[in-house]
Amino acid sequence: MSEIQNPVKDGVQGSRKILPRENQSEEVARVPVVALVGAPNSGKTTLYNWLTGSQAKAVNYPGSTVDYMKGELAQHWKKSQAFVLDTPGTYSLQAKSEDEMVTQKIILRQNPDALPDHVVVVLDGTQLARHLVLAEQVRETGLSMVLAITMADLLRSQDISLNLEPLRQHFRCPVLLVDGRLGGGIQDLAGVFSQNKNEISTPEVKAWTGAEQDEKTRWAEDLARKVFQKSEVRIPEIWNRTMKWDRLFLHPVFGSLAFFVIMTALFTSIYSLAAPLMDQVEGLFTWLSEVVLVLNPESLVVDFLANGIIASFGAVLIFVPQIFILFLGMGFLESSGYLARAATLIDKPFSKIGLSGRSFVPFLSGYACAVPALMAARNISSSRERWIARFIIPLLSCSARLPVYGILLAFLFSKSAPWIPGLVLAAIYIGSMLVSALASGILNKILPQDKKSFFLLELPLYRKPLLKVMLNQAWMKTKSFIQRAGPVIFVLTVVLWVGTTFPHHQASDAEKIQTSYLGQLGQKIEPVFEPMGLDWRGGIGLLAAFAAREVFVSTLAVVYNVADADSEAGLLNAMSQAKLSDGTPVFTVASSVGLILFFMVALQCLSTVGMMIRESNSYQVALIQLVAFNLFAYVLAVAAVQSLKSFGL
Amino acid sequence: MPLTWRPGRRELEEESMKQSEKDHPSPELRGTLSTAADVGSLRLGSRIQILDFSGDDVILERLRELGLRKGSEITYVRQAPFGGPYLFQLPTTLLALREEELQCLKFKIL
Repeated sequence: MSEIQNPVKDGVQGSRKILPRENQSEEVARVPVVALVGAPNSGKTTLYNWLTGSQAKAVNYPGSTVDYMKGELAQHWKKSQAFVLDTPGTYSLQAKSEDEMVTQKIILRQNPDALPDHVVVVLDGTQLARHLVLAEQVRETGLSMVLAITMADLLRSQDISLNLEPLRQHFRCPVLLVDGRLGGGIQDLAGVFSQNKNEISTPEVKAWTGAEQDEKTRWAEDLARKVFQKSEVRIPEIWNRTMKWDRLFLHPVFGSLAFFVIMTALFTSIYSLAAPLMDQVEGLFTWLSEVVLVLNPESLVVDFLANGIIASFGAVLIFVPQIFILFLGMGFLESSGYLARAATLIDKPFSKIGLSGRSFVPFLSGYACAVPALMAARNISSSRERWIARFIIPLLSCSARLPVYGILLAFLFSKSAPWIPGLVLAAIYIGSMLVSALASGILNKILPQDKKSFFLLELPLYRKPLLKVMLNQAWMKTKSFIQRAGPVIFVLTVVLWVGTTFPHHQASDAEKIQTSYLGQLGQKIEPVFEPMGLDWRGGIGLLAAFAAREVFVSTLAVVYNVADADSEAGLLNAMSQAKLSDGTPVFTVASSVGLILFFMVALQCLSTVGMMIRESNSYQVALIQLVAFNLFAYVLAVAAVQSLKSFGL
Repeated sequence: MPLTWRPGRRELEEESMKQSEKDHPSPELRGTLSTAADVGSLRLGSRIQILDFSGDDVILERLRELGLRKGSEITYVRQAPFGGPYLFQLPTTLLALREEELQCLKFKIL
């Protein structure tokens, strides 16, 4: 992959040439690659951020789609040069989920794009005995290794002193104590990498029997005892505060209440904090396209630039604030330790529908956007559960549906008190939850059982998250989202522009779209939309929504020839005046409810379909999902419209 | 909740294991451990000792990777709401196990 040759955009990059792997045998000076490996919550990511500064990037693992992070050693540690890989957390080199498999392949040098010269085993100092077993497993592979013991600050706070000599004697490698809060020890760690041994081995991992595992664990406990020199008795003190918090967060009543409050806070902040930023992005792109259009309103090229290219960039970037805040919020919950509690709390209810607490994060993300949610499903260990989770994620009411619900609710409740549409919106969200639970429940019944499913979750200490690390991580993930989803959304928006512009690109806006390819298609398949109470124009809106759901609103504005597309009042007015060919209004209570139900269920997001193909490695699954959801949405909408109509609504 | 991780615990454990074997010779051969308690007999704060593992290989391997072994002593601290996972305090961490995962542990209450 090209990331190897083109890792960062930092100043020195241009002058340094990274040689491809095949040149290695010629013994040229090559920048060493260092892989960080450690258990979840071992402080690996914090260490990675210290080492690389803010220039890291997520790398897509070829063949599968799991991310690891890769970055260059930051400028200020530049006594030495190295690339640092941050691998997904793992308890052993016997992978039990997709993300653990990524780590295993990197450590065993089976991933040609990420061949580590050194392995830094990151050990949580407060968990030394347990984490030493992984270090021993790495030692057995024969790779050049370094032990980095994190949480030095916590140990110091309890006056726990470590004698690293026994570790150095056994592992025969550098052993360093690092402080993730203040960055102590990082300089020394960065210095170690300059000693590039360049011993290319083909490591193998030995499968331990249960008895051998027990033996190793005993050995690790003994070794840890030597390291701590009896001061380990104070480690449980570190847990006292966490135990107190858990009495609250895992309490049947208060815990559920806290869960509800925290999730509500997360979602309100996603929507409320992101809204002004999204308006800014939208404003910027509207302004940009107007500026460009003014240059020459008649020119097709200018129109393509303004309504094709600029609009499509806008369509991608409009979601960035929301996705960033979602990742930031989840990063906060994760690094504070709460996310593991939320997963524990939700495990039993989720198990009824074939999911587990491990599906909680993807489920949560699904309410913002299905694309990162599908990515988050990777850490589900059971393939059956992963499959179910990925299948139902597009049913969750993502944020792109919000503008559509917004305009339809505004139309339905234009004369009601403002709390009524709010209540109905909540009902829509609960409805989407029920539909996805139903789908999951059905899949759980029909899919064959899979014995390998497990929950087995470690609940970490509650800790104050480091803002800098969280911001950095959220930005990395947002960038990764833009890189993945961006091109798909971009291409589709351009296709949509072509479809709505040609062949009569010189005509007036309304005429242009009516006679366009998409308009013609809409009119041809009008009979399909009729049972939903819509005419061909509503049909075009639905077709256009396949690029991105929120495009529905702007397309309605165009097809109903609303002069000021930005004003909601103008659109509402046009909607209330729109008439079917028989003279009856298009937008009635029946057709609006039908549309809401349709948008609730339909899979109208081709980015999601694209992501589904990549993540599930199967066109079939994505296709089944696409057809099934849209068919069900259609049937549901038609049933609702027809029965409401029969009541005269 | 008393959290103990005293030096010399291992010796005590081994003694206790030996005692257990003396009381119930070669339990593995009989397929069941008569000293083994079941999930229902757990009380909040119960301190248990793992006597053996049995069940799905992947779950067993992961249980061991999480730091459990024959002879480990852990404390049952609470159950998650709605009949959810069981929480156990290890010397240095907290583990949440589903009932079926807990059933892979043969243990006795100390």
